[in-house]
Amino acid sequence: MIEIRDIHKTFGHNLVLKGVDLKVDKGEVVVIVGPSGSGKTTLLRCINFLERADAGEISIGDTHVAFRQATARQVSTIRKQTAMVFQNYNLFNNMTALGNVMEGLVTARKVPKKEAEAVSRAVLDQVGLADKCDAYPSQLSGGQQQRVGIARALALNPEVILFDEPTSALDPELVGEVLSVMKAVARKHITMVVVTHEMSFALEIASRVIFMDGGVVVEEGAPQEIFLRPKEERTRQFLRRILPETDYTI
Amino acid sequence: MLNGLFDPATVFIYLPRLLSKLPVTLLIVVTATLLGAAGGMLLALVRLFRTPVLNQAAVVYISFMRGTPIVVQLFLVFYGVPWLLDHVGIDINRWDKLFFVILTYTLNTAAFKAEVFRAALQSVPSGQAEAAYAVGLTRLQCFRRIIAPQALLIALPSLGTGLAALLQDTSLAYTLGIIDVMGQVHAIASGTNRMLEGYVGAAIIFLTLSVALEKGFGRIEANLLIKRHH
Amino acid sequence: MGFDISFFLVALREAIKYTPVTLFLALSALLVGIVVGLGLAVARVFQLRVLATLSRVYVVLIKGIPLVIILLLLYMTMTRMFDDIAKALHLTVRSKDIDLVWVAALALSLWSIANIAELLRGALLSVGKGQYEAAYSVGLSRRQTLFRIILPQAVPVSLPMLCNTLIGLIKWSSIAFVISCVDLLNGALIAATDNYRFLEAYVAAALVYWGLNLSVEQMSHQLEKRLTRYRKEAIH
Ligand SMILES: Nc1ncnc2c1ncn2[C@@H]1O[C@H](COP(=O)(O)OP(=O)(O)O)[C@@H](O)[C@H]1O
Ligand SMILES: [Mg+2]
Repeated sequence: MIEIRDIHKTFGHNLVLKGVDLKVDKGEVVVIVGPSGSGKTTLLRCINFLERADAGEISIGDTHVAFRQATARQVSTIRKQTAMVFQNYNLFNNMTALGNVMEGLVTARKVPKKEAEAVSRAVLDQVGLADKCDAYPSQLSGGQQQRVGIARALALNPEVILFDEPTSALDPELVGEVLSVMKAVARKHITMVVVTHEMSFALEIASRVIFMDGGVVVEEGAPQEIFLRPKEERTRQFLRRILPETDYTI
Repeated sequence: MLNGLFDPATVFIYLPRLLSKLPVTLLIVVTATLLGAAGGMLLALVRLFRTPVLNQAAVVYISFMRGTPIVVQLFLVFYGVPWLLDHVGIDINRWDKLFFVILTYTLNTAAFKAEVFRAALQSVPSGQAEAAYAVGLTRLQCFRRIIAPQALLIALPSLGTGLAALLQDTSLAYTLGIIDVMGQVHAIASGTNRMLEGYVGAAIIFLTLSVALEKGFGRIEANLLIKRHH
Repeated sequence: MGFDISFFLVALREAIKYTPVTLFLALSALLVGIVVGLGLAVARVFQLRVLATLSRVYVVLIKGIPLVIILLLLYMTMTRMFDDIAKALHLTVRSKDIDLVWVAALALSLWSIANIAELLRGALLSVGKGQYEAAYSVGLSRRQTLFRIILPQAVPVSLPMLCNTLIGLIKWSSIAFVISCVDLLNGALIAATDNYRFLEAYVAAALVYWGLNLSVEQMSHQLEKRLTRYRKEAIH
């Protein structure tokens, strides 16, 4: 289980997160939606300590820390229990697909090489890339790269995987393969926090949808509730923009 | 023990006297930059249009100038040019040494600028020239009004570093006996045990100039970029 | 006044004979530059406070002060301090006994550190921010990220520029002649002190420098080709 309380983050004079709470139970898939600039990426980056939040606390598993005071050791403990899938994949360019997946296991977690390789091959097989183990990122399509990115996160067997718009950099015809891998991951009851505007994924898979705007959570609930019967006017406006043809009145 | 090694007050006594020779240093830098830019542009065009014979000559020339030390070039010009001209009956042995120094830095600058200009001109997309021809511009008009301004903007950072490098290079003109800033250090301090203070004075002058140069170029670049975006 | 071919050949032989000194100067400075310059570049990129500021100031100083002045300053302080210290310790060695090659090598190293720090900083920054973040996100430490992810990508980028620095060092090593260190240039010039045939000596020295730098350039092209071949293979 992961719990975040009252997280705040400012960039200069720009208040980006103004007190967000987020609780995700084990095996839950939480989808976060919201207009660009609403702080979704920043929220994920703060959870993974790629950005240092100004205030708030986080509990993951047995670790419980205040963002501000977290020591280097605590940061590393939290990072070991979280994994991130990036919008533009960020595969290590100097390593093969297999090397990418093994890196965290071997170098950060000191898993013996043999064991790490077996795990990594299995995970790459899971995302349908068993035959691409020796390919470098530059030899892979965007969709394949993102599947390696997901495998890299999966191999670490973290408490939660954070996805930041994993399909938004992809050509439309490649979105499907990545979404289906993500759906397969979700069915294994792996805890996921996913920022995405892929409604099909949210409706089919999400346990909960959170709508963020202006650095706060405006509304949250079951996908059907949020997408079809939003209570808040801001949510309705946002949905009208991304799904212009939807009729909310039902 | 280290008393007498370095006397800061002497530096300040020297500074005005060193600064009085700054015009000589600047004369070398400015003249070599202007003439070198002209020569560099010619060389770049020769290379771009692959003018037979001239192109190969330019390649060798540029390679030599970039592949040998400036000190060596200074003396090669100083001894070599009079020798060459002597063969066609011109005697320039008694010309001012400053002439040879400026000539060397000009020849050197031309070689470096040629490569900068060539790269910059090549990096302007060919669509720009095609569009210019399409609206009826002649080749010369296209070059002057469309290609050159864009290339200049691309070349600007390299021109800035080139100017800074030239300023540094001029510190060697004294080896030929020119009384510029460095030459003045030797003129006023050699024989005394205050050479160190002289060098520190010269270092301060060069450092100030090069920082100012960098700031200046940074500003020009920023201005041009802003103009372009409006 | 003709061009004395036979003396030119003598000077050429002398220049070649002292080429190892020039190569020692350039290569030792390159090595020092890579080791220390990498440290400074890392300090800047990872924003290690004191060291980063120090590194920035250092680069401004070295790039702003002509190398010949740095060399002369070093030469004067080192020889004088050395003599003072030696006298105080009642030693009989004097600065005249130090091999001036070391003074020149030190000056060139100071220059090379600043240059290489800048170019490696550029190379480190050319590896996108995403690579650092991905590395942190799978749990690598900063040191692991640097050595396993960033440097392997930055080194190929910086190789051609390092070759340029080596060419710069070979050329700048020629200023060792102002402190009478016997290198390629001075070797050729000493041969000419008796007969004043300096033109021949300078032509000889120029040709050797040119040859050296052309070979470095060739090597750089070869390296680059190998690297791009690797990348090309990686694309299809
Ligand atoms: N590193 C940063 N420095 C300054 N401002 C930032 C930085 N990262 C994000 N921001 C700002 O924070 C706000 C939220 O950005 P982000 O979290 O990326 O939003 P979202 O992912 O919802 O589009 C934006 O206004 C953005 O400009
Ligand atoms: Mg975002």
